[in-house]
Order: sequence, then C-alpha cells, then structure tokens
Amino acid sequence: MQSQELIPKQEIVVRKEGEDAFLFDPDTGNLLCVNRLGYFIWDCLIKKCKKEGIIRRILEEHEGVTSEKANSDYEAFISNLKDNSFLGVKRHR
Amino acid sequence: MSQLSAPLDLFLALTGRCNLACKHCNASSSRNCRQELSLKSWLSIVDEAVALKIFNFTISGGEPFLRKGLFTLLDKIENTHIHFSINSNASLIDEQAAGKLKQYKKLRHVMVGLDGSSGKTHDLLRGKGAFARGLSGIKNLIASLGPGRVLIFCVVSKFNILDLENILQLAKELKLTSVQFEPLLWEGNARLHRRELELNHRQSQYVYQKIQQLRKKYGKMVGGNYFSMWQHFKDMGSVDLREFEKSGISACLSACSAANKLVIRPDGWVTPCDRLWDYKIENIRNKSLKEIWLNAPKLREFRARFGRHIDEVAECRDCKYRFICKGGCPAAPYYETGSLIGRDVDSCYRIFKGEEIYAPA
Repeated sequence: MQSQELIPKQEIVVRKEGEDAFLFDPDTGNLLCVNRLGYFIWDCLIKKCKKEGIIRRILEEHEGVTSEKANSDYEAFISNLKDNSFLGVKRHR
Repeated sequence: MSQLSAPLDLFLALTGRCNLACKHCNASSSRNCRQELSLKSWLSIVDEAVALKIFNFTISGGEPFLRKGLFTLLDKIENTHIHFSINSNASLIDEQAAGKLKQYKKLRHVMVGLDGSSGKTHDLLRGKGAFARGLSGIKNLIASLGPGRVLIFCVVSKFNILDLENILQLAKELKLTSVQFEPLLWEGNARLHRRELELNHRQSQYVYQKIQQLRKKYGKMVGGNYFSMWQHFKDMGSVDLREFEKSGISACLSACSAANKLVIRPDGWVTPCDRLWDYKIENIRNKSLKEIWLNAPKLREFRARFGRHIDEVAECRDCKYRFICKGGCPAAPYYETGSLIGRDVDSCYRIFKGEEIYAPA
C-alpha cells in the first residue's frame, strides 16, 4: 500500500527580500509573496520538518503566538501552497 | 516589503526597427536604428536577470521579429526559470515563426496590437496593408499557440472609437480571450500626430460608456486601462468624501507597476517603464542592472514621486477629490510638462465627471 507526502517542489526559485520572500514556480510561472512566517514554514519544509516540529518551532521562535494561531497559520499557508501547486507529491511504499 | 533587491520584471526592447510606422508608436520605432545592443549584450542581461532572480520578461521593440538572433535569445530564456511574453504587430509572424514559438513552455502569451476590425481603420494608424498582414500573423499564432495565448492590445483614438465593438467581434470570431483597450500617451510618434488622434471630452466619455457596455456584453475578455480607470472612477464616486476630508491630509501619489520593473531600450538606456521611454536613468553598457536598480539617482528621484501628496500637484491643490485621488500615471504629466509631479488628465475624476472642461493643448 502506498502513502503520499506533500513536499516543496525542488525547482521553486526563492528570492529573499528582507524578512519576506518571493516563491516562483518556473513550471507554471506562479509567484507567491510570503511574509516572515510563510518563509519560516517554507524553510522548515525544505529541511524536511514535519508539521508537529514546525508548529513547535513557530511557538519557540515567535513570541506571543498561541498553539491555535500557529496551527491555523500553518494550515492556511499549506493550503495556499497547494492551491498554487508549490508542493509536489512524494509516494511511500 | 520595502525597496526590492531587484526588479520583478524586465521589459526588453530588443530593437528600435519596425516594418510599420504607426502614428501612435510610443517608441518612435522606424526602419533604421543605430547603436543597438548586440545579441551578446542581451544574452548577458539574461544571465544577470537569472542571478538577480527576476521572474518575467516582456520581449518588445520596435518589432521584435525583426531582431536578428531573437530565437537564440528566446532559446536561452527558455533554459532559465524566467517566463516571458512578446509584444508584436504580428505582421512578420509566418507559420514557421509561430511554429517555433510553440516550443517555448516559458512563453506566457503574445500581445498583438490591433487598432481596427479592418484595414479601413487599422491601416489609417499603421499603414497600408498592415491589417491583412497582422491578421495573418494572428491566425498563425492561434494555430500554433491556441487562442488563449494570443492577446489583443488596442489603442483607442479618433480613428477607431466607432470600431471598438467590431474589434471585439473579430476577436470573438477568432476565439481570442482578451482585448485590452488603452488610452493614448503623448510620447513618441503620438506627439507628432496628437491633433489627428486625441479624443475630446465628449468622445472620452463615449469610450468609457462604450467599454462598460462591451464588458457587460462580452464579459472578461474586455480589459485594459479604460476599463480599470472606469472601475476606479466608480469606486471614487461611491465613497463619502466627508469621511476622508476629516483627516485633512491629501492622498499620496500611488505606486504603479513601474515600481517593480525596468525597461531596457534597444540603445541600452534603462527607463522605469515603457510609458516613460524618454526618462533615461542610466545606460546598461556602463553599469550593471543591480547597480542601476539599487543606486541610480534618477531612479531614486522617480520612486520619490510615490511618497508625495496630491496637494503638491499645482492643478490638484484645491481639488475636493484630493483626499481620495491616487494621482494616475507619472508618464502623463512627464510628457505634458516634463515633471513627474503633475496631473494625469486621463485619471482625473473631476474631468471625468465633467466638473472641469479640459481642453487639450
């Protein structure tokens, strides 16, 4: 049986602008402008962190953020990445 | 996000040469052009754009299909992350050229200038036989790229105000999905032909109304600045001015897409926008793109416009709409008065409303 994991597409071009960043997909031409938190999550995904680890790191590194807020921001960002096809599928056997 | 580290888009005017001599050409393109950048220079510019992580190119001219080495350059771009679109009059795009374009996955679309539904109007602006040749090119592009990647750009003037719906009808018959109706700007050849081309106030009002009717009838295929300006005027008309007056502070001249892009002319001069063709910042032969973007004094001067307030514009100081007006396009006052800080009459709500009768110079 196979399971699927969503991972950042390797070919995405990341352009850092201060604390924010642009993510550009050369396949589709889609461009996303992400804020500091978005870039933080993207960077974690690139480093192959799992959701629980990312939420934990958000709470550690962003003062005053609640667990609920971190979770909802994470989900909103992942949803945005999915909608714009910035995530690829990795299949596991 | 503060000042970007590099532009997002580059407009590459590969040649000043053109096979047509349009009366409204902003670049004053002609059959001869001296001191054009070499193909090697353009290829180096692509390298720098890749390093700077620029995302889009607009390939233009003159007529880019007259540029020797065009496909060498497009081949190079195709092998980078950068996407591109092409502006053309289409009259040189035969089946072979259109077939070559099909291989480029990074090509977003080809934007074709079409100013009439027949030679009767189009050729008045662009020269005898231009319509037939342009239509042939459009058909070749459609056959190769599909109708969704061929866009129409129509400059509205006295010559074609009664032909707008026919242009749309033609586009619809060709299964095209986008027609942009754009106002004229008084630069390049258009300055020389202003009397022939310029709409009076009544004609401008007619165009705004007509574009709205056409948008209702044809849907989203109708776009461009005539439509977006009308939307803007509509929004201005719906606000309660008294709320904004309370602040006592007039609005800022708003930033436009020129804040995120650069234009490189055929002779290497860099400008902030294709609508500011003569606002020369620095020559790419002397400085890198990065140096120009980050340090050119004239570019700083241009960007400084966006922090200025409407009441710094002499004609707008006492205008009751100064609290909500965004100031329009900097190119308009630049070509009227030589200053970036001035009124864009096409974006003026007072003129749109008929509260001031504007008489062209």
